[in-house]
Amino acid sequence: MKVSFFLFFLSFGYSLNCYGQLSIIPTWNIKPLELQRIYFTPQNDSISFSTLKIYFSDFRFKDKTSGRITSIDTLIFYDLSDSSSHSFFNDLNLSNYESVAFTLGLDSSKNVSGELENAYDPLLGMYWAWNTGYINLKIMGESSTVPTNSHEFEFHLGGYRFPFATAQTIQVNLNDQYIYFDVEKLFSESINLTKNHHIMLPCKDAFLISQGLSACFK
Amino acid sequence: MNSSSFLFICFLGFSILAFTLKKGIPHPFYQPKDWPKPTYNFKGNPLDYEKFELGRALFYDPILSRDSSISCASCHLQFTAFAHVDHKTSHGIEGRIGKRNAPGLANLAWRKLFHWDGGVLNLNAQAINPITHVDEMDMALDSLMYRLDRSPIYSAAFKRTFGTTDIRSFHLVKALAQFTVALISENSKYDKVQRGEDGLRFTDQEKKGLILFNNFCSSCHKPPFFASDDYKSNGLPIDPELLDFGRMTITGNKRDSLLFMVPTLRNIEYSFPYMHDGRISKLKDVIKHYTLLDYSNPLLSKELRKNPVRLSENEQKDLLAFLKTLTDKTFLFDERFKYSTIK
Repeated sequence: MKVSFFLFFLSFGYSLNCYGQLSIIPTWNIKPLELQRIYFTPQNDSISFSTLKIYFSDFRFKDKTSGRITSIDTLIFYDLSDSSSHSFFNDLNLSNYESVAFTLGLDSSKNVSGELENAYDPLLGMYWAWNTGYINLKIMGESSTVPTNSHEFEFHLGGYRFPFATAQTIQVNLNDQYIYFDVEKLFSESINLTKNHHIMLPCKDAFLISQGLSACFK
Repeated sequence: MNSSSFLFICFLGFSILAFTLKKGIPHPFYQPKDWPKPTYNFKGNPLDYEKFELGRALFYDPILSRDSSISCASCHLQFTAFAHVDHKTSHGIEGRIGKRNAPGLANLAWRKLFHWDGGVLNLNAQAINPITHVDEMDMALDSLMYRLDRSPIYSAAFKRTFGTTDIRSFHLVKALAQFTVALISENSKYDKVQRGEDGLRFTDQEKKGLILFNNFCSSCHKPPFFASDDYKSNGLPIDPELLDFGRMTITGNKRDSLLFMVPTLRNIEYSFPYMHDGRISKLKDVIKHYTLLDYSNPLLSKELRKNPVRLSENEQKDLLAFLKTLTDKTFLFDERFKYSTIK
């Protein structure tokens, strides 16, 4: 109920001021996800999150009237623990666009650019030093579903080389300034914590889970 | 003018002069004649002598390791071609032992891939590996930035060279790369004979060795670098303790199992022990390894299978004599690459 109000006010705010920033909101059971808070899976297992970091890039906004595409090929780093990273594109008039497509993660050229500055900074904890490249999405936490003593799970989803290229193209309609990432859907449909709770390198499982990401955004 | 004013003006004058002279010193990197263009992206890190000196000081400073005991130079000693002489695999803090032999450093501006498994794709990023690796320096980058920032010497040096008081990891790796791109080795006897310098000529034995090298080795160890960015199997079986599968660790492809970097043979005389895990200590035994290979092994590199290295005892000595012509003492004892601190 509380979150329904929250989402309502977000939408209301947008209708008053259509020049808002584009914002990413991860959710669990249609409520904004909070780190360290205990949630429950449909199987009534507890789950909490300690880290959620995501790279977004290659944004393409589709104009409502002309259909023209406005491209912004920049790398955006999102960290749930850092509210300053939750919103971006301050100068864009979002009400002009009907939809946006973007890449969750980095394409191969960004992975190998060797830039290491700003959003590429290894200090952000998304850089694989041993195998040049970046993690697209890092999500970590604990769940009673995980059959280990620590009950921890760690998913470092990344990799840009065939056959395990994990960056995903995602398209959402812009009804407001918010893009919602349904984390609960990811864990109920693409991740089985009883079988798979640690992914730390590019591999088939990282590829398969990443393929489920597109359906989690709206 | 009183004496203190005079002294101050003299000090100021000398400071400006020293600064001007330092600014005028060229960066040691150069493009050797007839070599291809470097692969290193100099646009992203333009050559700068002061940054080179900063990188040089950092290369020799154990401040980069968690317990301030290990520097880059601990495993990359100049007089042994920036390799780790007499150590099979690299040493880290607290006596930790790595899985791989520390390779020699030379002509890195021309390499596309780094490390024995090719997992690192550019020279800037390479330095992050040994700094953060648990069996090497085991230093968290954020802690290192804090440490450099707290160091009056380094905070002043980064401010002077990069114009920042907010030292970031990319400043650090760019400074280190300013030093490592300068490590050019192209003044061996081989090079001088090729260029017709100093009236040098190969001995008869070296000439025979060169012919053997061209017949059996150069398809992988390609001049002028005597290396390549390819990953090959040289027939070494896996070490059951190290369990290092090489290139497969990076690509996840079983066909890449036990493939390793083709290292440079420049200064090979001084960069012992040899192979990715340092398992062969003498150069003559490396040559013997190739003569004793099972050439029916389908996992061997195609170059070796097509053209087995069958050499008599004398031919092995000839090849060894040629390989020693790749020693570049100008490089091994170049004053510009020796131990240094920030002045």
